[in-house]
Formats: sequence, C-alpha cells, structure tokens
Amino acid sequence: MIKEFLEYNFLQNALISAILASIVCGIIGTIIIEKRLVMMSGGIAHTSFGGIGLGYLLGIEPIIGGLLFAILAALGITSINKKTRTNSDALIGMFWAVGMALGIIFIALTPGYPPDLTSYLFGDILAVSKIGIKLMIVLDLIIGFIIVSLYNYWKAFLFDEEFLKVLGIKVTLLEYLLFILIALAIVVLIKVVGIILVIALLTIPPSVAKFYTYDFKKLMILATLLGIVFCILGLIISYQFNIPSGATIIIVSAIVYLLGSLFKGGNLVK
Amino acid sequence: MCQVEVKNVSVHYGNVCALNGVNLKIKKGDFLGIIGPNGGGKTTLLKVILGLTKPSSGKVIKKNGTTISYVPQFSSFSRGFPIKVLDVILMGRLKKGINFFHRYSKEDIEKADYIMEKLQISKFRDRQIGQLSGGQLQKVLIARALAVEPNILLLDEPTASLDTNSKTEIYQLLKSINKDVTVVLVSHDIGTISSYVKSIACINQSLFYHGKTELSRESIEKTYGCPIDLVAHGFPHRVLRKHEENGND
Repeated sequence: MIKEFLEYNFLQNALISAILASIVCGIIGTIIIEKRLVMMSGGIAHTSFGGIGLGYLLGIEPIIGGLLFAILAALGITSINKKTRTNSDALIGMFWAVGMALGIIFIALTPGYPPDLTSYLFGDILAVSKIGIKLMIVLDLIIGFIIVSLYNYWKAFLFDEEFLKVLGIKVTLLEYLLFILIALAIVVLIKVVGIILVIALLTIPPSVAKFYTYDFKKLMILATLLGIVFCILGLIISYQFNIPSGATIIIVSAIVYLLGSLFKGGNLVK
Repeated sequence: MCQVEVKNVSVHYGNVCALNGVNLKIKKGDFLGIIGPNGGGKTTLLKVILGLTKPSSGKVIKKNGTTISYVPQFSSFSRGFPIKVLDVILMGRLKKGINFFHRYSKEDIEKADYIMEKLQISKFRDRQIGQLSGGQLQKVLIARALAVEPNILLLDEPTASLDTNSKTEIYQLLKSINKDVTVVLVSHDIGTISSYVKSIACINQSLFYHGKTELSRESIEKTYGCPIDLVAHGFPHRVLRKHEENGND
C-alpha cells in the first residue's frame, strides 16, 4: 500500500485531502458539538446541493456554487430566525429540503447528459483534483486563522455568550462569523465524504476525543488526529476492497466510536 | 447615591406583560433582594438592567463609571462544556470589543488567582466545571463576575439549587463582597434572603420597593396574590410573624 501511495498521484492527493479535511472536522466539529449546531450543519450541507446544481447549470465549478449556497444558508437561517417566530429547527428543515429541490431542478435544466452526482452526495476522496486541494488549503487557512486568532473569544462565546454580551462584546458578529466558518468547513468536507455523510465526519472524531479529554484545545487537536486516522484507514480499506471511500471512512469512525464508548464511555463527566 | 435608575420600565413579550411600569433606584452600597413568584419578571428585570433585554417603554439610566457584572442561573450554560475553572474566571477579564490574537496578560491571571484565593476555590483552578458541586460552581461564577471589577453585582437565583449549608456560605460570601460592591439579587427564597439583605423589593409584573428588610405581610401577599406563610429556614430567627390559621383567603 505504501508503494502505491508513493506511486500514484491520486493517492497522494487523497492523503492530503484527508489531512486537510481532518483539520476542519477537528476544529469545527468540536465547536458544533458544544454549541449544539449539528442539525444546523446538516441543513447547511444539504442546502449547498442547490449551489452545486446551479454550478452545473451555469457551467462554473460546482463546488464554488456549493460554497455560495452554504454561506447563504448559514446567514439565511440565522437572520430569518432572529426576525420571525419560526424556530430554527423548522427553518433548518426548510432550507435542507429546498436546497436539495433546487439542486435537482437546476441539474434537470442543465443541457446534455445529467452529470454524475454521487461524488458530491457521498464523497470521493480518490477523485479530489489539484484545484480541489488548493481550495481546501485556502479554506483551511481561513478557518484556522479565525479560530486561532480569536480563540479566547470563541471559548467564552461557546460557553456563555450572554456573559460576553454583558461585557459589551459583539456576540452577533461572532455568531455570524461562526456560521460562515461552518459553511466553509462543510465545503471542504463535501469532496471527501459528501453532503449526506458530512455530519458524521463533523461529529464522530470530536465525540471520540471527548472520551479522553475535557480541555477544549486538546479536544480540537485530538479530534483532528483521530479524523486523520479515520480518513486514512477508511481510504486504505476502501482501496483494498474497492468500496466507496466516503462511506468506508464513516463506518470506520463509527466502529471506533462504538469501541470507545464501550471501553471508555462514562469515565469523564458528561 | 444612586448608581442605576430604572425609570417606568415595561416589557412585553408579544401579548404577555412581563414588567409593568417598574421604577427602581439602586443605591451605592446597597444589598437589594428582589423577590417574587416564578414568572413574576425577576429575571426580565435583571436583563433589562444588564441591557440584554430592551424595554418596550421606559429606560434604564446608569451613572457614569458604573460597571455592572452578572452571575447567571446555572441553566444558562452547559455544565458539560470543556472549560477549566481558571478559564471561566478569566472570561471576566475580557474587555469591550474584539481584538485579534488576544491573550490574557500576567496581570489578568494574577487577578483571577487572587479572587480564587479570596473565595477559597484555588484548589479547583484546573478542574473542569462539570466536576464541581453546585456550591463550588456558584463560587466560580461569582469569581468570574468579580474579575470584571464591578461596582454592582447582579445575581439571578444564586442559591436556587443549593443545599442549606452552601446557601449560607454563598450568602455570607455576598455579605462580605457587599463591603465594596453593591449587590442585587433576585430570588424566590424569601426566608433566607431577608436575614442578609439591606433592602427588599417585591416583584410580580409591578414592583413594590421596601427600603428596610422588614417585609410587611400585605406587600408579600400582594406580590404572590395569596396569603403566604413565611418561615426562615436554616436559621433560628423567624422573619415575619406567623400567618394565622383561617386567614383571609
């Protein structure tokens, strides 16, 4: 297997994408779990499908369309939620389905043969292009910079945002920024595990990490390392048995979580 | 000397009236207890004073140089959040505005350590907050509020889920804090509160202020809307005379 990694370009690309994706799921995953934004993230991911469809229709890189829709969904859900009395759960549901519906319509309108969407829905780490990797690097850098440079604020915001408000810190700004970061993170992960499986990669590594530490920083780092292990392990298994990589990564992660919860669960305070 | 003045404040949530024409002056050095039934608007009043809730009418006037700090209810955050005691207290050292690459200074950490020492919680410095008892966690929240270096400390039901011993400990702590800081707390725990506070206000949409801690039975009954038997638990002294049998229903 090592020989193949050295030989084949697409395997090297897959390895790099695994690492880039894992950094994102370590950082953002930990945040969305602590802030209870898992469903929100699922909603953003599915809405981005509309953008991918639009990308095909307009003949631009589909993932750029996806990125646009993901950001619009994140901002849309929050601002509509603030202005109306519809609760965010219901809004997430609407965005979720409307995004998918738009995607299907846009693709139907696209002239010529319909494109193969499986790689967007279920991910294909072996098919990540050079441009895809460059985009992932840029998004990783943005996410990393914003989280690291405002680390103390994030920690305080996630723990008790009301207290930050009392201190006179603009919580709304942090809130919107966080949603944009989630949107960026999802776009990074779509290439690896796909829209439908994104939530698993965002939630499983931090949940496993939570068995071993309750330090916020260590949680992020450990979740990142776990993500890398899961992705590479999943990649190798899927390559060996010729099964879909995204799904394999998720199953590997879930098995580790299961083992972790059996042996380690309950050792730390919930 | 009045640090904060609440002027004719009303708050409506849709059709529900939470506060109705409330007037209140918070005087420097006071230890004010605001009591009232659940849903009586206690928390709303605190949030209006803190600027978290905008009043539908009326206003809150703060004297220049007044820094208000806040001890929330436990339910406002997750106790399972991965954060250490020291980091919780350091939150109080964050200043207005957002600075990139903000790091807590040596002075901030010394201040936090000093407060922990004073509140006798230094031994929990590196514990995750989920590993603390209710009384210990309450002290951590008070420490965080003090790290802001406020002149007014607002507390929302600080003893709601504590046992009698921890309650007494918290009240005694607040009493000593009150030497330098104005303390305002809301509670439905009428008995214990009245043996510590200097003045009392009763709230149930409207507010009835009593300068002294001696509560009249009428004002309590007006607040709660029914006759009430007042007993100070945990202490030998009874705050109010006992409510007679077969009282006016």
